[in-house]
Amino acid sequence: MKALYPYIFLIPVYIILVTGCVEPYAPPVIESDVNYLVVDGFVNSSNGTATVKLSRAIALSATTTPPPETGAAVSVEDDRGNSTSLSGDNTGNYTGAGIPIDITGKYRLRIRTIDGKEYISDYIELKQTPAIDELAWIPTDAGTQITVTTHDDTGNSRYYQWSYDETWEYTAVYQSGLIFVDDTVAIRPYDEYIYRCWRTTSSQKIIIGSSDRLAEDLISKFPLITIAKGSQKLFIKYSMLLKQRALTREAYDYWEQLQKTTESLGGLFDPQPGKVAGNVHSTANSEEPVLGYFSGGTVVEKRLFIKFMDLPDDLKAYLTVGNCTQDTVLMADLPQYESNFNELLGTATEGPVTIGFIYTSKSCADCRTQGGSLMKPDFWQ
Amino acid sequence: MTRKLPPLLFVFIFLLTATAFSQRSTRITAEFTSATFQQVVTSIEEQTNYRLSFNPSWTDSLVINLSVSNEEVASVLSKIFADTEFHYNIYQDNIYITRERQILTELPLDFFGQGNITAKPAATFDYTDFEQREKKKKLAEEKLYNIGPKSDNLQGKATLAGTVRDTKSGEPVIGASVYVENPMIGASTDQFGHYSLTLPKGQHILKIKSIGMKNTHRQIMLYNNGRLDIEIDEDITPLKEVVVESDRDARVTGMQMGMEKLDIKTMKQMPLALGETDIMKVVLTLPGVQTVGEGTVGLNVRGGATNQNLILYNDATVYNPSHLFGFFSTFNPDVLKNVELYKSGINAEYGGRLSSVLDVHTREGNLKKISGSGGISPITGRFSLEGPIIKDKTSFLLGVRSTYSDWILDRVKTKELKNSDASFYDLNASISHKINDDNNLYISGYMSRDRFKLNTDTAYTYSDRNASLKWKHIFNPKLYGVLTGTYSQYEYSVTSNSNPVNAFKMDFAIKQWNAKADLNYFPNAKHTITAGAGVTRYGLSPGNYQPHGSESIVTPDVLQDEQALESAVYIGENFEITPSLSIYAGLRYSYYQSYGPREVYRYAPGVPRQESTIQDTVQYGSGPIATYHGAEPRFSVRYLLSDNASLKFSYNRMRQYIQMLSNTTVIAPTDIWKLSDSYTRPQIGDQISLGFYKNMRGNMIETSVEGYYKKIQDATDFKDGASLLLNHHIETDILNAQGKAYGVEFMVKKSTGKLNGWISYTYSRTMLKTAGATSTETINNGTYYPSSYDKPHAVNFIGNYKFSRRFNFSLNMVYSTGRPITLPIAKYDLGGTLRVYYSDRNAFRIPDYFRTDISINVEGNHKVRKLAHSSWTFAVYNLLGRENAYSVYFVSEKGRINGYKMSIFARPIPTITYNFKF
Repeated sequence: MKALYPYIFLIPVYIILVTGCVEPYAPPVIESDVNYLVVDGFVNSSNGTATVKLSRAIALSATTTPPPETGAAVSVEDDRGNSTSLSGDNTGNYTGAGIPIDITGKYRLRIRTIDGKEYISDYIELKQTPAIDELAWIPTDAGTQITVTTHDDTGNSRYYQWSYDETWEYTAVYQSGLIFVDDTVAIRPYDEYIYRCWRTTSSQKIIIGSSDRLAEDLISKFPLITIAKGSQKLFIKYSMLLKQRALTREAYDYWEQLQKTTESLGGLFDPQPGKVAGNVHSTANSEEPVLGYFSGGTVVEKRLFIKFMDLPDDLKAYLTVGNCTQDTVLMADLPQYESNFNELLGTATEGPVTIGFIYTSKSCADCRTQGGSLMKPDFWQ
Repeated sequence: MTRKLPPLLFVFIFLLTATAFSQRSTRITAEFTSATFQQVVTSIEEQTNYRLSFNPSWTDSLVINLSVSNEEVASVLSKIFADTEFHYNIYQDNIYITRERQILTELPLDFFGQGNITAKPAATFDYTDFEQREKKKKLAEEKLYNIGPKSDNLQGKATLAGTVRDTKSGEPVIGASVYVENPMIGASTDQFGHYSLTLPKGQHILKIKSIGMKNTHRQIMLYNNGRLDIEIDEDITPLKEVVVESDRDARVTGMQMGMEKLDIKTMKQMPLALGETDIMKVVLTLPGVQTVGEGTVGLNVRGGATNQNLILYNDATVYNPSHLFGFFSTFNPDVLKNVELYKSGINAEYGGRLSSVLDVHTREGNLKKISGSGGISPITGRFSLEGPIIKDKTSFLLGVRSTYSDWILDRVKTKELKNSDASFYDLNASISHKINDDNNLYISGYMSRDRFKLNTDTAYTYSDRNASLKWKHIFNPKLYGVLTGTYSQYEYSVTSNSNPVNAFKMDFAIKQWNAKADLNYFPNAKHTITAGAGVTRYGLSPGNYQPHGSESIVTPDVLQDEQALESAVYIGENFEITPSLSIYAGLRYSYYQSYGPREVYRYAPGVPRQESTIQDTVQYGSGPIATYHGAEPRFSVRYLLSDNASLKFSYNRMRQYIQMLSNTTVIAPTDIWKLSDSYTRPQIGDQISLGFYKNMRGNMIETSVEGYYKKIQDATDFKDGASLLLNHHIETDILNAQGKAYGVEFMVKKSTGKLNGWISYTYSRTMLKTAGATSTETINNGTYYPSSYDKPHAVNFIGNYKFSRRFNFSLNMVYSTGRPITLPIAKYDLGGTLRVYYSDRNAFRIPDYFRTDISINVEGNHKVRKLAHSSWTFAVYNLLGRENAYSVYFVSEKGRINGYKMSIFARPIPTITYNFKF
């Protein structure tokens, strides 16, 4: 009873914060024609290139992936009459180079799809992105928080968007020193080691920030992500390549709306989700929804490394064995050894005699099973 | 104690006529076989000097079989009266036979007819309080009160007025029925306990009934206009019983329709979440009242938005009646008296909101003695104290309620809760002062404050404060007036200091001053006239964004203040054309001006209002910027089909000049209010409703059917993704919508008996249409779409079963259709992440809502004399643990789309509350 005592008084807080429950919900199957065009376009003004990805929306209940829109005629136009056509591939990506860039000019996208419909974007301004002042990490209670600091002395940027690629080095639980090839066991060659991997993923969430309400155009220690303690990302070394883009006010509003209606829901006081209007429109039917956004400007990048040894002690966590077990296959049983599911670690001996081999499941010895690659990235220090 | 007892006065008449005899013996010898008491008396008077005084009509039921030999008369009488209600008293040679009580040496109440029935009897015998009150009541009921100077002229009519008060506490009794049966003329006491009746001159039996009070009557002889104050007793035994005596007749015979009145006793009985009696939650169980989500106090009355309810606390407007995100309402149950909810047929004296009036009254303090009450529930502790300042003249009432979770949290904080806290308190204070019979003064103050922080560095506080001062003056029995001044203030602030550079504080505040005068005039039995005028000044600071701390480089951003003046005059008359046909006709005229100083943007005509279409800025001085005014007619008619069935119809128009801006579905603590201006037009609502009422089994069962149709002009609606906070051009995000709502409400109510409660079914729809000039100003293609609180089917069941006086069981069941939501219909890939695309607004619904609660009240013993009365309430909210959806939402996570259903009270929540009263 004594141990329970303080928890009784937690009831009010418990009721408010915890009795609630969140469960997966399968929406009703909604039959409707949702074959809307999706445009994700960007003009990079530092090198005069443009990339546009065209695809189609699918029903929420569909199990397929959204199909690319191929065979469209896509061009970037500026407000002085220049037009540059982009060339498309079979994945819906359209690229172009040599676009005459004038940072003060206005640009728009013109798309004619294979079914003959024409879409046109609003004219956009190109935004010059200031350099990233600092990409840093700080230990917090929740884990390792990565923050960005940037500023623009001209005060023209104000709205920022970030995306990142993160790469981390990790190992499998056990190191495989032997290899099973052609029904025999051999010493694993060094270049076929499967113990150490590097995995790279890209940001999925919308990360935007604004200095709109500040006296200076300064983004100070804006939290990008927090890596929880015990994450594989920080067992050895972690790196983030941060890409920063200055946004126009309109683009910022778009991403903010998209973030509000597709990411930040689930609170007590959610805004009503609604349609998020992009800046591409059908020329024939202004009511037709066109999803996505077209923007342009420059991109700046900065890379950060975090080494395990630099972490404070309370954030250091070590790889654990988990469910990985070791077993022995006797020489005689070797023909029955399932090399597709297992990896050999070393020899099993009884005195001086090798009686068989120690093995473990593939996921415990082959780091690639966890999504990484054996290739050490070029930038890895 | 329901026997009718002749007055003790008789005894005194006998006393005066008694004669003394010389001393003989005090013993008798006799043999009585089936003898009458008269025979016994004859024997005693023959054998002794005693003379007996008694009332023969009392004693004729006595049959005496007794054989005595030389026994003391006292002993003989003791034997005869053993096990009867008779008593005897020997005084010299006289023996007085009384019934029920031994003889009293004090004079009966108001013996000399001075009209003061509260005179305290000299206590010769050791009566308990209870018995004394019973006696007083009997005396008061038997006495004939002469009203007005005596005269022979009993032609014509005269007006009787006065106040009905609780004998024990001296508090006025609100809503008591005061009536005579022949002819059937009646009135209800108003919020001051005041009544006024115009009756034919002559003798009447005036009956008085009220919720939770004992029925009583007064015999009056009405000579001319006069005054009669009445004290009535609390019905002491059914402490938690629902007794709606006064309303029972009212439902059929009263003029008012679409009105629900809840007594605090009714409310205390209902099982509720978190162990706290909560008027807003009780109101939600009434037909026609809906809410979008569990744990919110936002009421949607007959298809109205949450900001369309006028919530009055002792006449002062309350802007945010919620504590703790809405899990509690800000009204401390201990100081409340009753709550009236008007859904239709709203009288002309009320105005300013479209959908309903929720009129909350607090009690007046005990005029007789200091008393207090309180309670402890898992979340809050509350205490109230009341008593006389000057006995029978001035009383005070103080109430305080606060969470204590904070204190505990500090001691047991876990990692998850480290950055969270939530606390609130509210304070109430009131003083009522009786200057004299014709003048009363009421002062009331109220304050509530909330603070919370949920796992972030952003702290929210909000506070509602108000005060009211009322002076009631009775000019004559036919006319009284009330002068009221109120002040209301609501403010909130958001503070964030996670990063010192960006730390900010944002404030919102609204202030409201109101002064009004109301007159009630009762020219004769058939007419009641109310009239008045009022003026309200609004001052609103829509947003003030400031740096917080010295390191902050946040630029201050202050939105322009808004000011407005709303004035109104009204007159209304209740006219009883025939005993079965009554009409009420009222007219309110409101005049509204928003005024400067203020800058107003002008937009290019013919294109959507947005930042890019701002043409120029107009600078207004302190003069008017926008003016709106209009008539608000109110009309009701009641036709009695029979003694216990009636038909009622009403129409009313309301105008609302201040609106809440919220694009969340529930009321959020950061919602802002906006005064009507050049772009935001006032909302206008018209409602017609028709009802049929029938009481059965001697008014024990009440049934009603009410249907309504409502049209709303210029309801506020918002563009998708509207940004409402700190928006300098908020008119670009607000849309004017047209609304319509209709429905029918069925209710069966059993008010008395061991088993009581009600069941109601409501079918209702509420739709909005926003068809602007351009597509960005149009929602769902300009067609009607269901509003967020459109819940077509709703069933409520409230049942109480009283096992004994100390043990009471309640069951509460609620069902409603799930509220509409906007669901995604499509998904698409953007930058490698799947995102959703939303359908038309509110095209789908969350799953239906169903909840069952139970509660058990256990009263302490019913000894009349003890230190404190206490009770325990055990309740289980959501007994079946049904996971009712609060919301359904979809989020993009790790590149995929996941749908979730969120429930707030997904498990049974047991609570124990301890209440005490002394």
